[in-house]
Amino acid sequence: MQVPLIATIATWLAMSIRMSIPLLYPSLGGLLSQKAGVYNFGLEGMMLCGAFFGYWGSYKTGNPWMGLLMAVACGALLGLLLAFTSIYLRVSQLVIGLGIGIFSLGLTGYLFRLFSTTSTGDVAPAAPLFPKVNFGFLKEIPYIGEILFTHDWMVYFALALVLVIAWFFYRTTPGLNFRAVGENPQVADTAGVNVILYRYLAVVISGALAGMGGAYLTVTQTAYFTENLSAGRGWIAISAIILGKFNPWGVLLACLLFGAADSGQMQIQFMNLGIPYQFLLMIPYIMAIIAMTGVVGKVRSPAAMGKPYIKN
Amino acid sequence: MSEITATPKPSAPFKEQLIQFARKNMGLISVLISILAILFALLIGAILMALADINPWEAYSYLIKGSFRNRYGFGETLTRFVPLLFSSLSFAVAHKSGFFNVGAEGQLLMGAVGAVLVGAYIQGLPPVVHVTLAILAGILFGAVWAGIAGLLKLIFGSNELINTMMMNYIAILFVEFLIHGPLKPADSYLYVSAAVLPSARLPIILSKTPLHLGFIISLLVVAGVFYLMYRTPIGYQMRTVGANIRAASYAGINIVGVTIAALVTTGGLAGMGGAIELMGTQFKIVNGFSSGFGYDGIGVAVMGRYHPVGIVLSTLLFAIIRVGTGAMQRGAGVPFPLLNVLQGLIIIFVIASGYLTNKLTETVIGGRA
Repeated sequence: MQVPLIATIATWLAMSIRMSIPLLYPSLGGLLSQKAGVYNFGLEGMMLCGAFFGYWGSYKTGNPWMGLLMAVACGALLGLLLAFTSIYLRVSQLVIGLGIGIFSLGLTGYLFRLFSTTSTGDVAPAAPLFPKVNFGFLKEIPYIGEILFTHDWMVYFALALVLVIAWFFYRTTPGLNFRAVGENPQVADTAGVNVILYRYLAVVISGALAGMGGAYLTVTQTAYFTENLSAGRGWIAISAIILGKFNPWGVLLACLLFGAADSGQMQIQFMNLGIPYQFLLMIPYIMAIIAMTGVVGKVRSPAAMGKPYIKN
Repeated sequence: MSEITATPKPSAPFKEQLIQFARKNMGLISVLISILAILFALLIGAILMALADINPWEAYSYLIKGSFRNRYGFGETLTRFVPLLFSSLSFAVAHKSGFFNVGAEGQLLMGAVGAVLVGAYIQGLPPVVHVTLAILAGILFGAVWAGIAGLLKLIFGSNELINTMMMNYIAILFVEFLIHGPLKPADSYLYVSAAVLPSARLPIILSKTPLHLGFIISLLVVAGVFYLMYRTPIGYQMRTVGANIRAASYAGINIVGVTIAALVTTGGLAGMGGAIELMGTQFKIVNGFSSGFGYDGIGVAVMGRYHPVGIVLSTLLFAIIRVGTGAMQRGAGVPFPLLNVLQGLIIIFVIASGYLTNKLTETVIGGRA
């Protein structure tokens, strides 16, 4: 029984990494936005749009890259909307995020129903997927190969993003400025940092990343879209940011933890232990609630988060 | 009206007068903005339909016909009015008291569970008693469900918007579990709960339509909420906490107590909405019992400016749009999710227009966080 157990664990870990990626993209996006002082509570909607347009673009053109491009563009566009309303118009960032969520739920549902009734048959067709990266002999390493070298490029790209964002925040001058914009915009402004520009960039990139996270669901994982496919991942992402204490590495760990729980509950479902599946599906949501109760100790959020900047 | 009849000069005094006029007529301006927001939303909806080769004029004619063509459509609209009103009141009371309760969807479902437990399993009660008890159970379940998220905020300071959102997903799964097992009647092969007994059903008040007593109850509840929020000390305290928690604390208001009162109210209202929807319209819980009534409430409350009178008017409008979108789907083949497109756009436009009204009133501007 020794070997099957290890094999099961290896499969579970590989799956955990894959399940954490659709959270990691929006979490990193949300992190950028919140570090610059703007709440992005539209992540869920941006993700859902990314998921649909990723699927649709990939199917229509036969090329997953085009799907991804559309998803990123769509996320960035919604990000721009959120940026304009919360930075320039200075209206409630939370309500505008909710509005974007409801709008996206409607738009994707509307387009998907039109699409699936006009395409052949009742079942929507599968979209072409990104292939897995071929690591050659590395893949053959027992267990390690399965855990680390069986994914598609979007997995490695997300991990690389963590590295880049951490380096940017803590090792570069623009990164320092970026954090200053979210901590104390008045001081940053006095020091000559363009607060408004930084915030716009942060929120637009945040939307693009959320769109990528959504596209990951359809152009690498399922090849299909269903209504409300993101199923609250955009909200869970925000709690992952808090669990990760607003640090890119912390956010990575938090997302891996959520991914591990999610793939764990899926494996338990396969085992047929008689636990009603609904309770297993609740696990990520319950974890998100627990994550925000301060289990990791005091979390300090950026001081100017959610406060619009008014130049004197 | 004397302000605008004064000699219009394109100078500073005239501009000043215009601003003065606008400040005195904020209510009118809000209504105008809401109408513009709806028109904008419908315009974008029309573009979406035109892109899909659907004739927008024809489709929108069904939107109007849905509610006004006949007696049934009218009754159906007022029936839809009821759950929307409860969920928007729930969102508005929470917002006024300083927190975001986006969990009306889950609280409404749990309220229906409470009502089904009393309404379907307790027998031999006179109708008045049975209905009252079932509604009270709905209020209790909704309040407890909101209370969980609220207490987490009070104890740990965790974000209630995300908590209430997560509790929605949990409630949906929990109800799915209930109708697959514990609440499913033994002789049923469908995934449904037991049906509420006739003694716990709300009577129809307009014959040949689905309109039930819940409509009258909902109007009484609006009056009650208005009284609570604007005419009682606790309502005043709730609004003070919502406006400025620090000032409320200095003024010696018991923040914890007031927040709990607000939580019970917001969750209770949503739960009551679920109970009444169950007892007046659907009688049993099925998958998709709510079809987004809880989220609709957000848009209604935003457009109604969180004020009971505004909410009644915007609930009526959203009910017309909801029934109309159903008619558009049947008549012109427009996919039903267009409803959420319109609602989302209305929220975005109305909120964005807050910039303008803020400028006019010179209130403290900014996103509440």
